[in-house]
Amino acid sequence: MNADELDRCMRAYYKCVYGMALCRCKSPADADDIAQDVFLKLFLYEGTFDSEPQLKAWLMRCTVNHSINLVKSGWHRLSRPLDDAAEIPAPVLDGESGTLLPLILKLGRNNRTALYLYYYERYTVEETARITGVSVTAVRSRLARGRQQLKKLIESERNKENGL
Amino acid sequence: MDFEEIFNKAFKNITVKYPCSDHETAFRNVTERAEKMKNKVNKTSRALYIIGGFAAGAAVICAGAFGLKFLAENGGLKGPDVSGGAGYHEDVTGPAETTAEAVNKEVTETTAEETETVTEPGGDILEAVGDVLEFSDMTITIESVEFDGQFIRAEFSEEYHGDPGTQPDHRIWLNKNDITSTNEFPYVYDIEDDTDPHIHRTGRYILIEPGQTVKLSFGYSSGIGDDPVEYLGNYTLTGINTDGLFYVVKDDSKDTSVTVSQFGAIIQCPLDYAKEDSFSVSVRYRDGSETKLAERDTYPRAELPEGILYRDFYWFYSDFGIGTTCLISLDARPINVANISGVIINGEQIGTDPDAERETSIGISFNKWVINDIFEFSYYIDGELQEDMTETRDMSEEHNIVWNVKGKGVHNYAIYIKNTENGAVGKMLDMIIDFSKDPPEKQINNGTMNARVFREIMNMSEDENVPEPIISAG
Repeated sequence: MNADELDRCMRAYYKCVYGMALCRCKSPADADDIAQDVFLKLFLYEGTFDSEPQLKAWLMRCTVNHSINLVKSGWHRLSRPLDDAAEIPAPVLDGESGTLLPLILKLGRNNRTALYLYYYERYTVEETARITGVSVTAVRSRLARGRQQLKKLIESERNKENGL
Repeated sequence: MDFEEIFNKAFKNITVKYPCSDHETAFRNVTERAEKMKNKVNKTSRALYIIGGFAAGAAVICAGAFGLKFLAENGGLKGPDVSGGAGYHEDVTGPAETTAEAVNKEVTETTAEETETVTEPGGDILEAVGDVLEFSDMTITIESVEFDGQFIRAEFSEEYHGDPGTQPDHRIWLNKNDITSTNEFPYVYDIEDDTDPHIHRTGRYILIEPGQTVKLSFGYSSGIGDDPVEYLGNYTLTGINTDGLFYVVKDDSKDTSVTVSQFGAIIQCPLDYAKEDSFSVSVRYRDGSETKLAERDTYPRAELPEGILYRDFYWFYSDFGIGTTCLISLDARPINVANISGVIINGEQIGTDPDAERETSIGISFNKWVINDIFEFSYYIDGELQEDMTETRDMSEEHNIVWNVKGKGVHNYAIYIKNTENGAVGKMLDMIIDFSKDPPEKQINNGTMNARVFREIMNMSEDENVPEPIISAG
């Protein structure tokens, strides 16, 4: 891949790769690192892609792999962010933006990933399974579990608000 | 609760709230790093994946069972993605400095119902990181050792100083609890010149018992008189990735079995695969003397993910009851080792997915009726007419209607009959189907079908001696 092609791909897909990485690792700095690693890999990749969707799916798969490696790495485990602001803050109900993002970020990583790919990136269950490297049934279970967990978290927050 | 809207909005918001680097910065970083990699000095970096092994009782971790392979190649490292490990950040001295400290942290073990977390690792970290070992024909530098509570991964670089055309006789092994492991990692060298051997090996051990401590040492012997050098570390498995993880272990001595108390189970197995055209994994279970196939997956080579393959296998013990003892075996072909067989040592119920889309059919059969009349059949789902299904049928003939339906949750299905002569309409079938159950559950409202609908819309009196058509539905 040449620099022009890389430039085009990064303009087209950097944000969604970053978003996927951020969803998984919950740290903007780490997500940026992951995203750049993924595109470095793309830049050095000697194969070809038959279509844009195939390229994007490859990027998402790499993002999942790299975020797994980050979690397992000693650097990630033993390092502390220089600035607490580098990490996404503790979840609170985000009333202003009207989203449940902080609660969603409390969900398990694998569930978050499945939900992100299915609802936001609009992949099918089968495509999500290929990207994450698990079975279709596993994806369905993660989606269901993620929704159940979110329901519980919402109820819990509401109970807290109501002083229960 | 509209999950689609919730998640869509939230995930859209995440990159707005926490924006990424600007394009120019990111692009420059990527291209500069690529340039550096291409200009890298002639020093090879190897990753040896070592997972602390538990050896006690009848269960023995066999590294060979997980596809210990020895690949020789020119010019680079393949297999598990090294770049995502200690080299994740360009400055690899960061991890090397911090791993010199002993780390003991509390462990949180979570269940599948709670939020998933990767548990904190524990145990002493190998203190030899950064050491350079000089041998008569080899220099080894321990670059990093990482332990996340399950997997031990060591990265080291080698420079071979032997005579051109020669092959060294080096070994690296793991000593578990002061017992030299039989699972050595012989090198396969492909020497390009006398200072630049290219070596690639992978091997893995897995800690499987929470709280179990295994003392591991990394030994090296040149085979020509150098004393082995040992680097000691104590590794304790402090937690398991809580996504309903099973570990498959190889038991050479005897079959062991577990009692599965609930329907369904999840296996997640680290697998190593060869550069074959395809790779298949089969999961079988034994019920008594009978071996049954639970699931088989085949992966074309092009679709295999990089590095370690983790598979979640789901199946339902619909063939036998709760509490049945069974042996689960896992085969992975083709790889350079024999079948991997073992047992599930932990389990998690997954049950059925209530939100899954399921299919079923509504079957209705009619015998011939004595009345030769044409009736219009209309089909409704949740009160909405399915216009493309509307049809007419001559009731003097037999009919078998098969209405294939699919959905999620609970839905209502109705069939109305219309007398084409007088326009009278009657409801024949009113059924509720609950797709959250597997198989979907069907219930005819009011208990029975209205077999009298034809008589009703024919305006027949009760006195007319015309037998009803025999209708059955399910």
